[in-house]
Formats: sequence, C-alpha cells, structure tokens
Amino acid sequence: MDRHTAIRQLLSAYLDGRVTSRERREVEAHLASCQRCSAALAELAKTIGHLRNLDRVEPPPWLTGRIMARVREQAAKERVSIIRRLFFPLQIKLPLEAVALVFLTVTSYLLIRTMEPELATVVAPAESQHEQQAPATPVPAPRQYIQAAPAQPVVQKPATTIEDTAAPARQADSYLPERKPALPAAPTAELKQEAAAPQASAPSTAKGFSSDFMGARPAAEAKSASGRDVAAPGSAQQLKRGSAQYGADKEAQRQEAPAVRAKSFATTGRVGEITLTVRDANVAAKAIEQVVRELGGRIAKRESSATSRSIVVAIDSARQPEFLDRLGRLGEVRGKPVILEQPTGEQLLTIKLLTVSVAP
Amino acid sequence: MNNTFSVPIDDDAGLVAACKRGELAAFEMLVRKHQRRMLNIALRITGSYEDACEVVQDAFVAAHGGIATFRGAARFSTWLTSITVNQARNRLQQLNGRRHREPLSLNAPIATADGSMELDPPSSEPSAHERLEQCDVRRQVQECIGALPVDFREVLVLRDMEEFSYEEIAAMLRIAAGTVKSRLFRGREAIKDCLKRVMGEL
Repeated sequence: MDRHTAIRQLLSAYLDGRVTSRERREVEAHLASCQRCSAALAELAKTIGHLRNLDRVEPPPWLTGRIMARVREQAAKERVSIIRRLFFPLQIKLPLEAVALVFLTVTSYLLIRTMEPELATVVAPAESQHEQQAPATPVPAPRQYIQAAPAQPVVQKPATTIEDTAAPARQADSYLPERKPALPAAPTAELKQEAAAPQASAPSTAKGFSSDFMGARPAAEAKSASGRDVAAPGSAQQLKRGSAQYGADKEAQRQEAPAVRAKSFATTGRVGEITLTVRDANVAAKAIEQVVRELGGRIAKRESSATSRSIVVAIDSARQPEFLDRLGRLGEVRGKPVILEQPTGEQLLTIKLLTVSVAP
Repeated sequence: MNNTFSVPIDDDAGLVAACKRGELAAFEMLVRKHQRRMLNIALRITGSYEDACEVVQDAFVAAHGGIATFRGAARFSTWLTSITVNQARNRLQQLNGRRHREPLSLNAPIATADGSMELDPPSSEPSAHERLEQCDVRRQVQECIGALPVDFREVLVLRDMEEFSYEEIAAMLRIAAGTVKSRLFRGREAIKDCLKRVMGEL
C-alpha cells in the first residue's frame, strides 16, 4: 500500500476527529504536500455534507394517534395475558389436579393392597368362624381341595419334627396363604398341643397322637364323603383325605375358642377319643391292656392324673370294631373314635377312663 | 466491545419513570418528542416514507412493551433509536423480497421510483428552482444510500445525519467502535463514488 492510500484511509476518521495524535500529524503533514490527497479529503467532506443536508421530514399528523392506539391495545392485551398467566396455572392446574388425583388414588390403592395382610389379620377371627361353619355341615370335599396339597406335607411334617410345634405351624402358614395366620396351624398344632397337654411334649406321645391325627377313618369317610371312593389305592391318598377330614372336623370344633388351641377340644368331645365309664379304673385299665394284647395291638401311651386317666392304644384297623366291642363289655363307651389310618394300618385310639359310683 | 463513554443525564428519565408506572400520557409525550427523529432515521434506512411510518409505529409499540425492563443504562433516545434501526432493517428484509427498492445501482444514474418524491418535505420554503435542485440532489443522495448494503446505511445515517458518537453507534448496532470507523470510511467512499457518477461532480 502506498503512502497516499494509507493516508486516505485515515481521512474519514480524521474528519470525525477519531485519529490518534500521531496519525493526525502524519495526515496533516502529508496533506500539506499532497494535492491529490487534499482533493480526496475535500470530496469526502462534501459527501458528508450531502448526507447531513438531507431534508428532515415531518411525521404525518395521525402518527402519534396511531401509535398511542396501538400502545393502548398492547397494554390491554398484556393485562389479559397477565391475568391469563395467573390463571394459566388454572388451565394447567385442572389437568394437574386430575393427574394428582389419579396418582393419589393409585397410591392409596397400592398402599392398601400392601397392607392387606395386616388388615386381614384383624378380620381373621370372624372369617375363620365363617369358614369353619361352612364345612362343618356339608361335605368337607371343597376343603379337601384346598387342603389336599398342603395337607400332605403338613401331615408328614409333624411326624418328623414334633417338638417344635411352631415349625409345622409355620409350614402350614406357608401352604395356606389365603388362610389367616390364626388358622393355618389348625389341625397340626392344635393336635399336638392337645396330645402333649400344655406342658408335656413327649415325642412318642405327640407322635402317637399325630399319627392318630393321621390315621384314616374309612368308616367316617364312607358315611360323609358323598359317593367318594373311600378305598383309595394309596394310603397317602387316604392320608390326605383323612387329614383333610380331620381338619374339617377340627375346624368345626374350634368355634368356641379359636385363640386357645391347647384346650379347644375340651367340651365337645375329642376326636380320636372315647370315654369309657367304669366302676374301677385300675381294673378297667388292666382289662383294656389285656384286650389290646389279645388283639395284637399295643399300648401307645398311658396317662394318669389326679382327675383323669387315659390310655392311648394302637389297634389294627381291621380289629378295631372288635376292640370297641370288648371295651363295651368293660363299661359304657361314649364318643366316636375317628378312624385315622396310619401308613401301617394301625389305629390310635385314646380311651379316657371315667369312674362312676353307680353301676352301669 | 466496551462502552467507554459515560451516560449523560437523560432528560427523559422522569417520563420513563412515569411510563414504568403505567402512565400512558407520559409515553405519549415521549412519542411526540422523538417521533420525528425516529421517522427520519427510518426513512433514510428504508428509503420509503410509507415504510418509515410503519417502522416508527412498530418501534414505539415495541419500546412501550419493553419499557418495564428498560434499566436506563443508556439514554432513552439511544435505546429508542436502536429499536428503530432494528425495525427498519427488518422491514428492509421484508421489502427486498417483495418490492425492489434499490432503483439505483452504483453504476447507473437512473431516475428513482415514485418513492423518492416522498422525501421532499411539503413544508420546505426554498424557491422552486432551488427546491428542484435540492430535490434532485437529495433524491440522488437517497438513491446512493439505497444502493448501499444496510450495514453501511445504518452507520452513515446514525453518524452523518443524526450525529451519534462512535460509541453510541457501536452500542446500538452491537459492533465494535473500530468496525464503526471502518464502515463509515467505506460507506462514505461508496457514497462519494456514487454521487460523482450520478451528479458528475460533488
């Protein structure tokens, strides 16, 4: 770039007074000696003059009015939009509230569902009574379906772990989820507690008793089961049905005191137990034992306390009728023994001896 | 880019405060005070009186809409001017698609469209001959301005017609002061060359 060009590039700023001191000195020094650049400066000045000389127009008379009209219109719109913004939440609020309502509804529903177990516990006693009544009268066939599957493991369990009554109860719990905690242990736990009279829990006794529980009762089944084939092929089948039957009866008899398991058999007669009213308990006991031996059975347990005396005998199911008959000769037999079949075919029977002073 | 000039006291501060309170009468006073200047700026940039009137209306309405957030860092007139320049630029972009308002190329001295007649103020006093001459020259100047890209137009209008400082122009157009300087140089040179072609001599 030559000197003239460089100087000319500064002329515009020079005219506006926007050059540095040094630049100004250079420009003025050059212009003093350069005519062409001085002419260029003059032309630039004229041009700017023309630009400045452009006429200034006047606004039309209606301009202010038009402007203010639009300003007022805009101000009004803004007021509306502010109000709308305040209520904009309302427009959003309604759907939001709807969503919130749905959310709350779903949440409470789910909450109640998760709490259902606890809630149901409160309702349990009433329910259990309800359910007990149902099968008490009609055939416990439907119950068998419910208990058929769980019953078997429930039944088998007691045979192995008798001591811990809680465990099978828990087991029963898990098998019968729809039953409430109060119920499920029913047959097993109660039986054991009965058998083991609250304090004692001798394995053999409990076992014997539970085998009583497990013992089948073909006679009863033949009567109660509606046309069902009692003589089931597998003993396990009978076991199931028997236990189911047992369970049904137990339920029926638990109405009075569902909470008190140990003594729930107290008044209505105990399943698997008969009472023999005799004059002399000792004599009768000896006689019973002799009969048992004659029939090829065995004494499972002897119990005696200040108030009562009972003998648990194991008799082959085939010979039980005979046994009962023999018992009848010893004294008055009351109660209906439940025939619960053991795998071995033995029947367990509890004979409770009652003494009276009056001769039968 | 830094604004190194200190903001002079704004004569309009009181009116602006009233406008912020929602007093429309105060805003009308501002309109009456500044509309002429704004109109002329819009006129020189758009080249059309009709469009300039629309631009000024839009500018004032926009200013009123933004008065609440106007912090007073600049003078109200400067702020209003930048709005007007922006509106004028936008309108030009709209116009370029529809009407061809660039009647004069840098090389051809051609009579302008009817729009140039509107540049003449109806109330000017000079003699008929002078008016014709002036009219002629001004028309040609406007035509030369119209031939420039809008970037150069803006700086020329703001500097040579409205006499804003380099810094004020830089702030309004959001460009550096150096850019203002170079644009002015190139714009003025272009006008000079154009006028020499159109008028034969300056």
